[in-house]
Amino acid sequence: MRQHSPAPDDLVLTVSELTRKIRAMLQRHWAAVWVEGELSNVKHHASGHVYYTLKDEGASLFGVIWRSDARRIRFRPEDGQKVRVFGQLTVYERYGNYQIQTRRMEPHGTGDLELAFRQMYERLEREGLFDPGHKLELPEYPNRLGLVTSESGAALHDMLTVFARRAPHIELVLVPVRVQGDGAAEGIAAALAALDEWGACDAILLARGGGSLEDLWAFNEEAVAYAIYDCGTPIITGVGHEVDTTIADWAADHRAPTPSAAAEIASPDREELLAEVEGYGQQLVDAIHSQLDERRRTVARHGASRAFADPLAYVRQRAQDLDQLVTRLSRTSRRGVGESRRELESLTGRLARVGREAPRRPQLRLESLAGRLEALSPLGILGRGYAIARSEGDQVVRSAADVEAGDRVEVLLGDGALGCVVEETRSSAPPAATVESHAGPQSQES
Amino acid sequence: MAAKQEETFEESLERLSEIVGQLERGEAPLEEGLALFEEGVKLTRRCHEMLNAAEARVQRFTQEEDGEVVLRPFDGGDEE
Repeated sequence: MRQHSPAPDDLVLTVSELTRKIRAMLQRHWAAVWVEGELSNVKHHASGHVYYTLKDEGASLFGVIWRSDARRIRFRPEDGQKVRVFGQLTVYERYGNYQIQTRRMEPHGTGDLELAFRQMYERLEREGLFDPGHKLELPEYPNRLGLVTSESGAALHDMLTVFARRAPHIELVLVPVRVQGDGAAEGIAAALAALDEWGACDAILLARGGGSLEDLWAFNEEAVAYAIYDCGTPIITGVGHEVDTTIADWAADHRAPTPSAAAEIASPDREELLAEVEGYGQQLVDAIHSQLDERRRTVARHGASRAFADPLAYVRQRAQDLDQLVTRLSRTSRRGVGESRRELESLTGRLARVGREAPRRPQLRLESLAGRLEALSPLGILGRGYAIARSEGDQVVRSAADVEAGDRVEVLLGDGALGCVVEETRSSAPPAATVESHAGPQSQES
Repeated sequence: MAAKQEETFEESLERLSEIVGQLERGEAPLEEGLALFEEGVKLTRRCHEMLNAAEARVQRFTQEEDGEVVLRPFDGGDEE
C-alpha cells in the first residue's frame, strides 16, 4: 500500500455530521412519498408512538408514527395487514437507519373505517360488551323516556312525531348532544352517564338520522360502547337507516333500525292501552253485575215488600242498561277510540233519558267509561234517598231480626252517616233501621 | 283507598287488574266489594286521564357545573 498523506482535518466528517447530511438529503428528496407493503413487527408503544416494519418480498423499510399522527388512524395497525403509508423519509441517527416518518396509513383493499369497525367489533365482543345476558329489558309502561340526540336533527323530529301520535302521555327528557365530529363520542357517553345517574328515566333512546359511515362514526367509538354497557337504564338505539349497524347498536339493550322505530318500540300504543283499560272497565261492570244478580235473587227470595219494590226495579233496569252497555262496548272495542267515545256518548244520552236521577244532576257529563260506571254504581243509589244500615259489628243489617230494640246502628247515606238507636223492630213492615234495600245479605251467609 | 296522585300508570293498571280479579272471584263481602268497585272505577278514570294527556311534554336536560340537573321546557325541534 502506498503511503498517503494524513487526511486533512477540515475534510473529515464525524459520524454524526455525515448522518445529519444524509438525513437532510433524504428528507429533502423524499419529503412526501407513498409506499405500499405488508406490516410486520408492529409495536404500539406506551407513549402512543407506533413502530413497524413495512416489507415486500425483496426489501423492508422501518417506519414510525408519532403519537399525534397515530391518533388520527382509525383502525389499529397490526402485523400482516397490507397498507399504504404516506410520509417523509428520515434517518434514525443513533442506529444509522433510514425510516419513513409516517403521517397517514390506509389499509389496502378495504376501507379504513370498515377495518376499524371490524377490529372494534371483535375487540369489544371479546370483552363481553355485546353479551346478550347483560342486556336489560325494556319497560312495558314507561312514564318518562330520555332522548340522547342532536337538538336540531331529523331524528328528534321523527321521534317526537311518533310519540305525539302513539304515546303523548309519556314525558320526554331531551339531552342535546353533538352526533358527529370531534368530541361527539365523548359527549354522547357523558349524556348517557348523566341521565343514568339522574335515574328518573325508564329507558333512554340514543338516536341519529342517516349519514355516511364517517358521519355515524361517533356511534362506533369505544367511549359510546362502554357508556352503553355501563348504563343501568335500558337503552334503545336508532342510528342511521335500516342498513346501518353501529357498535352502539350492538352494545345497546335493544336495537331499532331507525329513530322512528326506536320511538315505536319504546312507547306502548295508547290505543292498545286504552283498550286494555276499557277491558278492565268491562270486567268491573261484569263482576259487580253478577254480584247484583245474586243479591237480586236473594232479595226476591225474601219476598218483596213495597219498600223493596223500587230499588229492585231500579236494579233490574240498571242491570239491563249494563247488559246493553257491555254488549255495545264489546262490539265497538275493535274500532277507533274516537268512534267508541262517540258511541259511549250516545249511550250516555240514552242512559240519561232512562235514569230518573239525570234531571237532578244536569251538570253530569259522562265522557268516559269510568264516569258511566260510577254513575251506575249501587252506591249512587244512596244519593237517591236510600240508605244502608250497619250494626255495630259493621255487618249490613238485612233483616229486622238482625237487631233488637236498643241496638245502635249506623245508617249510611249518600253524603254521610247517622248514628241511630233502634226503638222497635217489626218483621213485616220496614222499620227505620232496616230500610237497607237492594244491598242484601252476603252470599256466603245465605 | 283512592289512587294516590303519584301512582304511575303501571301501578294503577296493576291495582286495577288486582281489583278486577278480586271482584270476579266474588270473595269480598258486600261493603268491600262495593269499595273495590268504586276504587276500580276511579283507577279506570285515572288511567284514562293519564293516557289522554293532551300533548307530549318535552323537557331539555342540562347539568350545572355542580352536577345539579336542570329541566326546561323544550319547544324547538318539532315544527309541525
